[in-house]
Amino acid sequence: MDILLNPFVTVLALLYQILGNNIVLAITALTVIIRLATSPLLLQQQKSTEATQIVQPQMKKLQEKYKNDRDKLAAAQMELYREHGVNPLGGCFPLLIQMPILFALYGSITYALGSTPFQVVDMSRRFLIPGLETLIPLNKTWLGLDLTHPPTFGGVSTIATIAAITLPVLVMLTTWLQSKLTMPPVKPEDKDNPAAATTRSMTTIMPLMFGFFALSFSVGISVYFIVSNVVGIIQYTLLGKAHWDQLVPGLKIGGKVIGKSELTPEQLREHDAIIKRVIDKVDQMPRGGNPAATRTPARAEEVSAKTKSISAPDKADNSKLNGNKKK
Amino acid sequence: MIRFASLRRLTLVTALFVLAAFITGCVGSRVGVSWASVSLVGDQQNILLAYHNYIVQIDPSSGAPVQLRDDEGQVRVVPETGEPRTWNFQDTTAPEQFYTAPLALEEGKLLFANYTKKLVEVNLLGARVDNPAGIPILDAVVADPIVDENHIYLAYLNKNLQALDIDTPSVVIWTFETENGIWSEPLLVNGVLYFGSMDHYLYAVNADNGRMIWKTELGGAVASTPVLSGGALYIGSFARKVFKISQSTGEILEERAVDDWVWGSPVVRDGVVYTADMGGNVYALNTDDLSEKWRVKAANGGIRPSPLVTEDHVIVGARSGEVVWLDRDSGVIALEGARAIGAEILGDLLLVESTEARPLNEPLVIVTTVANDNLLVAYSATRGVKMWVYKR
Repeated sequence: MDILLNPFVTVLALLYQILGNNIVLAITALTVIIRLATSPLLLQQQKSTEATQIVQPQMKKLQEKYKNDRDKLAAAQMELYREHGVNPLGGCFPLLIQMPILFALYGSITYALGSTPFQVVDMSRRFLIPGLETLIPLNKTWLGLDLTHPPTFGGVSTIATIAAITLPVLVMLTTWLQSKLTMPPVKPEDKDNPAAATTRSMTTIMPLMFGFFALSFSVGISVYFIVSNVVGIIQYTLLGKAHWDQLVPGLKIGGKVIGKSELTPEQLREHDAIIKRVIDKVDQMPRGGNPAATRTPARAEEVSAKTKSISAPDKADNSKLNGNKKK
Repeated sequence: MIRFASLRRLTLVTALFVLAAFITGCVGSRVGVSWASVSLVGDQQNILLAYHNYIVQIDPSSGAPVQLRDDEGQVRVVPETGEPRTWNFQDTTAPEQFYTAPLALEEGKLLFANYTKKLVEVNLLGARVDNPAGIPILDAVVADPIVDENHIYLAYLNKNLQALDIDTPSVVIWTFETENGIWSEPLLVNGVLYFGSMDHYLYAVNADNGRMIWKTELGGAVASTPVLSGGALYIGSFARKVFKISQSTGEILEERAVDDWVWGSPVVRDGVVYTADMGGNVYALNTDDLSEKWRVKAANGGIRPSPLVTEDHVIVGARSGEVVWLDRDSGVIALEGARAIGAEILGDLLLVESTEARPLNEPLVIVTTVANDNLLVAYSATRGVKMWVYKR
């Protein structure tokens, strides 16, 4: 962990020095830099998620057809993913790569804000650039709040009290906003779907959970939560993945109006052809068999390119493709 | 279906909390905020260890907790078990945190300044706290307090130094403001307090009225107590330097660059300044111009405590768990045996010498660690052999 943590602590101290010994600006800058640096991973994760969503309507057809034969269903699912060139676990890898980075970012803030002898002793081997030790201890007071402690409401000044109340509220608000904007819109047929309900409930649970963290952890971490959420919202908006119309119907920010475009007839025909091929292939197999991959790489690229261009549901299949309508 | 949905939701929420706990647990801070203090107390020169929520008195000859005795000298026992009572104060009801050596105020009473913003009075004979509420103080304390005829001087973790009335410690005589914390006890000489602060300054303050006499910027945090010798103060800072400073004016007379942060106080003996840094190096510098007499890489880990200087050796303890005896004249590692404890050493080392009241076969070096199974380790000061270990 130190291999990741020490460079982060060093960069945070450097930013602190550059930004006029202001730790809040330094945390903000480092969070923005890290979020931007991991943007390609986020983009890849989004692409993978989108590709998975695109095959969902076809997946439902397969589930219906093979509901009494689990082996064939599994084979058909794998074949469908192959036809679309989708790796069902593709969304996990970017997330896994991001996790240690986020751990290190969180850890660097915790260590840099260290204010006790133990914490400062730990800092003694973390700077990779000589000379930064003259910054120790970093200034930990901001708006009358001690950034190393959870917010206290009987603060030293009115500003401190207001800040102590505002910060957890902002953490909750930005967490809710990010959850709301990145949550897929509710489809009519998903209203009774337990998985969809669980996903929707995250919009409520996440802000409450992070609000609790904001009250329990140091104020510096709350600053990180807020900045990280805001940057995330901006990133999703720029990628056209933020569902602003869920807050204000018809609102268009960072891309196109969500929800009204349709699949072209050509795309629909292609989808029908794929599912037909999959079913034909699986039906030819003995019960419980495992299909061998027969699709050529060239064919995979062709199908993949076509499916990725799909941006909205078709009226004829609208109830099943609502999840694919954003780009 | 509803039950299934609730179960999934519960699982997801639990997973999120576990993940958050994992994130914060993996990179969070360590338990405790500072290291143990060790000091000698009473005629018997017993070792007093103050750490976390307990204070315990240890017999230096055996490493066993001191047994409580009644007025007739008989060992007191626990009625239910018949076990002997030991000198052990542990606060299980409040989150007390003790990291400082006590003040011996009057016969039979010890006063601890603690991290929980209180002065706690402990009865020396009975290991008893008569007033658990304690006396509220301004802030948390990690530096040992000092005392003169009139005042108790308290240095606080986050900022400021205060003089309290010695008879009524709840009365504040004066407050001297600093920009950051004071993590080491002040040096009191002829009515002047000399102390370093994490705000990078070394201060000289009138002990009677709290007025500043001078202050000197040392380029980095100052976490140790200055040492006075021949009209000059010697101290190191996090700016990787050791300084020689005029006692009267605060002017920097000499300074010398070292390899890493200097945290522990230097020791001056026979015209030589002995100091160590957080890179594991030990230095012997001439007091005149801080020129190097010798230096040695003594340990793999940083050396936080002050060196302990005996007749023949300079003894240091490191974060890597190494205890090293260096030849005082040459800096060569003198004792190779039994050097590694295997636990992080952060607290200052303590030398316990034989006295009439407490005869010992040989002087001991007491090393404190942050590990419960090696809280105190006693070595022969001359032979480097491990004598006993106090575990908790």
